[in-house]
Amino acid sequence: MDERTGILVVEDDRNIVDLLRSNLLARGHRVMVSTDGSDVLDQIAESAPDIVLVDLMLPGADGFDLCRAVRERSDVGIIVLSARRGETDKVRALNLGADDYLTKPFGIEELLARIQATLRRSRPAPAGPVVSTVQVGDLVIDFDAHSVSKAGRRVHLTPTEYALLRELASEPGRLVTHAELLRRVWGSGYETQTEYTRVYVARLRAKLERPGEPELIVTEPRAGYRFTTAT
Amino acid sequence: MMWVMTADDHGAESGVRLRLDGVTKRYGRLRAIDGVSLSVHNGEIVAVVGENGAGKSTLVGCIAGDIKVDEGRIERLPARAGTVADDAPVAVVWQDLGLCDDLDVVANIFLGRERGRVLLAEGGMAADARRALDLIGSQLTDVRARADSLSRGERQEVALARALAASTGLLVLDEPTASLSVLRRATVVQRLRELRDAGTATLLVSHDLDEVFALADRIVVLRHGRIVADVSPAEVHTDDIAALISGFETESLARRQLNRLKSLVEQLSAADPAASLPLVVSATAAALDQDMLCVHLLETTPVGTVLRRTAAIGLPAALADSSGEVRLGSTGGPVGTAAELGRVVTVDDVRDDATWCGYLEAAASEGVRSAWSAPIVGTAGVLGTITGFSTSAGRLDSDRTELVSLYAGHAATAIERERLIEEVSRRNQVLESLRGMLDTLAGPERVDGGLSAALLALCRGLGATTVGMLITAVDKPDRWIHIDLDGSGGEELRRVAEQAPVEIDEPERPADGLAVAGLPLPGGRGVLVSRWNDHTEPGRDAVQLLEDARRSLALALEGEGLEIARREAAAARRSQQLQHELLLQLSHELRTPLTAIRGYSSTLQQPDLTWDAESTDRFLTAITSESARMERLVGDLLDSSAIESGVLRLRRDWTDLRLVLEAAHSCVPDRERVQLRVADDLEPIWADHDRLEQVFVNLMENAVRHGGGNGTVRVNVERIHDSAVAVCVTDDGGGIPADVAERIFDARIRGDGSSGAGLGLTIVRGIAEAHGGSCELLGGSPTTFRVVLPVEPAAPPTPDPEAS
Repeated sequence: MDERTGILVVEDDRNIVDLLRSNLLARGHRVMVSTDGSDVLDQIAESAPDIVLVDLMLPGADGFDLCRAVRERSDVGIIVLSARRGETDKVRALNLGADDYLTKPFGIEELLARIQATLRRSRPAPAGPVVSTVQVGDLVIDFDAHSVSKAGRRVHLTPTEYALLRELASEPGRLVTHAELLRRVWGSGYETQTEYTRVYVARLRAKLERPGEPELIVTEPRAGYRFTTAT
Repeated sequence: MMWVMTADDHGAESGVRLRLDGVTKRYGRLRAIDGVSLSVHNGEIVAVVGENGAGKSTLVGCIAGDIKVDEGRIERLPARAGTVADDAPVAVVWQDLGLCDDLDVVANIFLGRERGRVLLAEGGMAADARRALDLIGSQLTDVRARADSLSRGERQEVALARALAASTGLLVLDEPTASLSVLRRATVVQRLRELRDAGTATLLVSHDLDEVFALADRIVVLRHGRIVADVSPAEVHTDDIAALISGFETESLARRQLNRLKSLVEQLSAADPAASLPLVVSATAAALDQDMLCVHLLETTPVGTVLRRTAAIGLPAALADSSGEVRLGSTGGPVGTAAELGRVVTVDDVRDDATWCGYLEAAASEGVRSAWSAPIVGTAGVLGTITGFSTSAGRLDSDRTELVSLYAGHAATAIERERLIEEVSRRNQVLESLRGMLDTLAGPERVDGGLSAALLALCRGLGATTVGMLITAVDKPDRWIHIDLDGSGGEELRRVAEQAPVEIDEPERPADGLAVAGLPLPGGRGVLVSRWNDHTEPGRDAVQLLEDARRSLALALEGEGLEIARREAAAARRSQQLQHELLLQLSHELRTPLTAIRGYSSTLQQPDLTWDAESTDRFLTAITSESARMERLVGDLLDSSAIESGVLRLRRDWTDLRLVLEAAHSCVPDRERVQLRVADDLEPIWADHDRLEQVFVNLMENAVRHGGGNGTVRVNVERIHDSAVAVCVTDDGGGIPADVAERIFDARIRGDGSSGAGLGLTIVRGIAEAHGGSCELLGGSPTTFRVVLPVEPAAPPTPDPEAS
């Protein structure tokens, strides 16, 4: 199997496609292209990319729908490239499962850095946390196996979700600030983008917390989050 | 000959030929016939009627001896008393005919009687068969044809001929004419009458009530195997028999129809008074089965009272021409007489009647033999007459006379209602119009039009010559709407309105022939003014009408205000949404080339990568083309804002449209797909070459892009009249959906998801309009954009007199 990172570019503008392809190939990646979004799911199934770069405004396809469709079927990293700068669009894209959101125009270095950050999250951390498992109630996080289970059943998390949970759960009870989380999960330069943490903590809660149970992730207003110390 | 009944056939002293006494036939638990007792005398036709399954065919089977009865007895009595019962012969026409398919017509007719005829030559039998058939009017030619080769009607004829030829003196006929033509049926009916007159006793089972009434001396109604009636047709109506058969104790059909018509007349005369009288006429004609009918109404004229025909149906031309106006009294024939005397007048036969006047002579010449006329009597006496004509002699029987009176009553009601409505309708119609106006104002039509219509209705309703309405609001210009029927203009009336006191409310009369009323408007003031030529106006009615009208108008204006506010709010919302969409689109359009430019330049600046010459060249080319794209976009934006703010400036000169189109053509990618067709004699037009080039580059690019596939794009130029040329750009794509087409020139809408800021068509239209021309999308498929441009400069605007 090809060890190179696979990147699927979903973009209709010819020059931008060429720009992305040239750079990604030069960086040693495999590059696939979809110009209208219609064959994205097929391409993901066939060529198993690690990252999908999605333009939000595609002819004949809605980028948001595409994010949702991809996320429903795959853990692949999703980076949205959009001319829309509004926070609502960003939050919406993140909510639908995008891992990152890059507004146009962007410098090529920035894009490459985001790609690296997203890839890093989806790969096992080089230095593992001090403990190998954390158990809270019926939730078990196995850092070695990279798996999470709730009431004995495996919970499916995307790489970004898992990365965020690992940052919080590896030191229960400690306040982890937004900036810290953002830097460690998304990378440096994201420290002020608190919508990323808010959206992703909400996603984690939806997957891991049940009504009536004590909170797993406690919000410290304006500061950050704290993983529960209960066991 | 065998058909003639001999005196022998008039047999038994009692005269009874067939007697049934308590006959019951059961099939399992079902009593097919239940205690039926009846008798048929010599020279009598007894009809048995009933629904399917009432037991008729079982009864026939029992009488024929084909079915064994469970209880009771059947006596088939001989013609002469003293003979043994039960073996007197009976001739039967079965419902299923009972023919032998493999025998010919002759054999079937003499089936079962060969022995008695054994000496007859074959030829003689054939001749007898022929005669038997002739007697019932059969057209069957080949008496040697096999029964199974005959039609259903012919088979029935054979069966009938056989039964009638049997000469038994007792006939039992089960639906004997069901398959016969009308003509043949009449012959059979006639033949059965002859047989009856000759003394044959006949039991006739039939569905056909007309036939039953035409033939039967008595009618026996069977229902669920029992006899429910045994009556003489003289005593009953077909509807009564129908009711007995069905078991429904309902009103007779005629009465039901009458009631239906009556309610229809009432509904119609309430809804449309003018329609009720003709309706009464046609309803009467239908109920009486009368072809020619008319209604005359009394009318006072300078020369005296006449009867004028107001509605008619089926009158022949000569009669119609001569009966339009009829004198009251005997000189007016039955019409005049009926109106004068107030009672029904009938003329049995025009030939015997000496009192004929003109129109009846005309009627007689058209074949009319009899007539009747009934007065239409209203609450105040005779209103007119309703008159019927018939081509046969005879008078109305009492039933029909009653019907005529009933309809005359309806006619009177309708006429009086109509007259009543006429009197009150003037005011009602005005109020209706005002009410209608309220709806109009709430609808999408132009508001002023609705108000004008209402004012016109009011003006007519008031009998006024001029009506005007002045509306003043703080934040809006004054509105003055007026209607003048005498062409006097409204200036004077407007002054009256302007000078009307502020506190005016109810209608006032500042001078003779003038009325002023206030409109109770929220947030404004309205005045309603009307003027009459008649100095006695406004009378009490007019004041009342004005009072009603001013309230209605105020309501309408209020509704109009709300509607306008609602529409403005909706338009503002829509506009905001469009602007938001446009901004999104624009930011995408502008950032896309920017992304490419910044991306390529940052690509080249990466310190750790060195690109080969080919890549570098490609990147720089892309940067150049993307910069050009941005420039174009910015230019479009500036153009569209110039067009929107009306400051688009054209540098016009005499321009060769062919050169413009060729220049545009050369700018279009895939230009080989574009076919240019320019008329040879095209003269220069007064236009801005560069701007027009922009227009056609845009349209051609659009067509190439949206035309689909590799289809061709046609560009045709022609002079459409002296002062204009038209350029049509047509692709062979699938056309543009109607909802998109409606808004395709809006800056905000793109035909589909493809690239282009959507400003292009706005600019195209803006430039065309700045030239004094137009750009439109011709409906349908394929898509055609048509640009019309004036040839010469528009005449310089005439100086504004007020400005000078």
